[in-house]
Amino acid sequence: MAFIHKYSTISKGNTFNQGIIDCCINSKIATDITHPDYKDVIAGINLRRMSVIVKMGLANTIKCSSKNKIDAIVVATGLASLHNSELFLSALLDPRQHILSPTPFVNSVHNTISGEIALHTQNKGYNITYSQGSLSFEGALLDSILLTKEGKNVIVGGVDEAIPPLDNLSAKIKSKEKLTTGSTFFNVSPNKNGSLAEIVNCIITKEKKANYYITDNFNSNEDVLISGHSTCNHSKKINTLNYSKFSGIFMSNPAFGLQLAVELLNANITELDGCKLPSKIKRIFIINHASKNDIGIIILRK
Amino acid sequence: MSISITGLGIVSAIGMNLDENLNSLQNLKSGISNIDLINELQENFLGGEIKLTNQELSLIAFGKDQPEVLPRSLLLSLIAAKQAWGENNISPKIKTVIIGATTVGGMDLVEKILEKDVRIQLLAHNPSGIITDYLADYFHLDEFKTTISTACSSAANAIILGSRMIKNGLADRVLVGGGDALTKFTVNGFNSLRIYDTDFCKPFDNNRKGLNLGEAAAYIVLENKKSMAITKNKKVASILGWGNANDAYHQTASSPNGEGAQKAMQLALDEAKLSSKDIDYINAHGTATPNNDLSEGRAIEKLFGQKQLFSSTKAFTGHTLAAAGIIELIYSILSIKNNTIFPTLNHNALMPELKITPVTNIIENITVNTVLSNSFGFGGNNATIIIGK
Repeated sequence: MAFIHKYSTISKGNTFNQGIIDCCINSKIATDITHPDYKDVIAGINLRRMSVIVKMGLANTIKCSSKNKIDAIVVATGLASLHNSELFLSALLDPRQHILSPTPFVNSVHNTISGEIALHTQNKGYNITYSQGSLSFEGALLDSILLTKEGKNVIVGGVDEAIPPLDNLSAKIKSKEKLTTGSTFFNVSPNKNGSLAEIVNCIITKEKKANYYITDNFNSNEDVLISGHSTCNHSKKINTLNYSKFSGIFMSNPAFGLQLAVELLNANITELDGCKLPSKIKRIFIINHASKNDIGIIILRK
Repeated sequence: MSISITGLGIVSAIGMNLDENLNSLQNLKSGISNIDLINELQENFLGGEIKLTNQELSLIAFGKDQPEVLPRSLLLSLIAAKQAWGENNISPKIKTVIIGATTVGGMDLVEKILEKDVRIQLLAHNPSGIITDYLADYFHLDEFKTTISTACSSAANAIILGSRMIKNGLADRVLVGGGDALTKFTVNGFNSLRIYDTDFCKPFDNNRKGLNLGEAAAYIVLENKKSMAITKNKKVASILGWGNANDAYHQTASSPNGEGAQKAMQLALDEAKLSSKDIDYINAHGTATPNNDLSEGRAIEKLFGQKQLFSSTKAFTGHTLAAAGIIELIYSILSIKNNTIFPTLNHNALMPELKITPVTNIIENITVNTVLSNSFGFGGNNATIIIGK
């Protein structure tokens, strides 16, 4: 069984220090990403050459690390470092540039994030990167569930960055909103003691099958549904919280939704953002509709 | 738990199917030549290029003209996946998942769009998941899908995930593989790192200067017994063990003693419940970069001793990045099936740092029961798979 012990988010507002609910309830959602002071978390000597996306992943990893040895690092990223991809592409297509710097090339590689996390935390264990568009995080989480079955103590997270001219891509993932930057990581282990929540299931399937699954399994008296999209089909019938409203849109933002769910399971609140909550929440369904034809479902309980 | 490989599909610079690849390997025919299908590369590069245009690939993939513009990596992947999937059908009794691997995704289209200076619509084609999305729809696989992108070890890690999903009862059948086309991005990228040989690459040679890139795609079908009872597919080979470990040494380079490589190989032996003596042949990562071959060579020597038979097939195909792990797994299967060890081409001078010697002439009529295949990548990523009969 997979139990969540720690979480950490870098997003709009001071989520890194206050968590998500605190930032939402106080309605102080910032319009753009609020980076923590990385010097407080990452040794300065390492910071200088580190790209933003690596800083976010590493700072979140350090915050999620436990006293117990971390056996595996699992990262989800839809687009990796767009900043570096764009830099290298522009340079190589510019006929005036004869000598290319390898730095943006190396930093654009998807698993630079998981690799740099391993390097800076000197972690020699299992290391992997998932990149399946808007369903990247669900793949990473499924692997983490497998890893806990294998007895491993896991760091798993999602991270993506926006670069200014990405409106067309936003349209592709069915959103009129601008893409944003964000990252959420967790410590997941097979150990139930002291855990904040248990991951019951993680599914990727087609919309029709997902609808059957939710209809069969969701109990509105005791379960809560949170979704990445305001026009979620299920929201007509079910009281739904929209996590993207707080995180902004990025491909790995179901990770943000998962942290919101963990916080909800452990908070004594009856309402959040106009959504009435059962007095004792049994399970939370995190529904991700951002992919064209597929639905990601993560189910969580205390 | 037995994990059987029941379907194979491969396209590379040495052949557009399994038989053509075997024929080239047996006849020592390398696929490395001048790269001439990518426009406006600023220098001449040698690479394992498939000499077919996207239109020609599309015709092979679909059997007819296809109006939709698709990335080259996707076309290669579709051709290979169709060969591997063969006559398999969807069945509600068999939980089937698809796992892909790529580094470049649709980067070739991004480059084309950028050249015309339409700017950044580009990155809509960049997500690595587009190939798996397309294949999942094409084969009607709607259970679970994902894509792994760990640079040059991507496909090996995809096979490892598929094997672990079967072992833990999360899947009965897995269509798994990877594909990477040659792109300006990767050719220029490796050249900017000064590890792209201007001559034919020379794995494990003392005068090696670096790699030649290549393009390829390969897919395999993995099944458990329950699935095979329904599909009646025949076992070609078995996955026996796997290991993934990180070197945590440098962003792109391997540690001088190959610590991560040793750990990945040891984990794979442990999973397979085998000792180093049981490995008949190692298909090495052997990229022909000064760093990789020294690090990997030392790791092999330390774990397996001086007499271990090993070779790198990179001089046949070029380094095919995300696809390398799976095309070399398929070559390892061909070694078992044909009692043959395929050699390291272009090898003239032994590395003085190593006491082990790569296989440089083809060895035929040799019993090969168990093969270990290595795939190492940027980010300190080391992945090892062991297969058997």
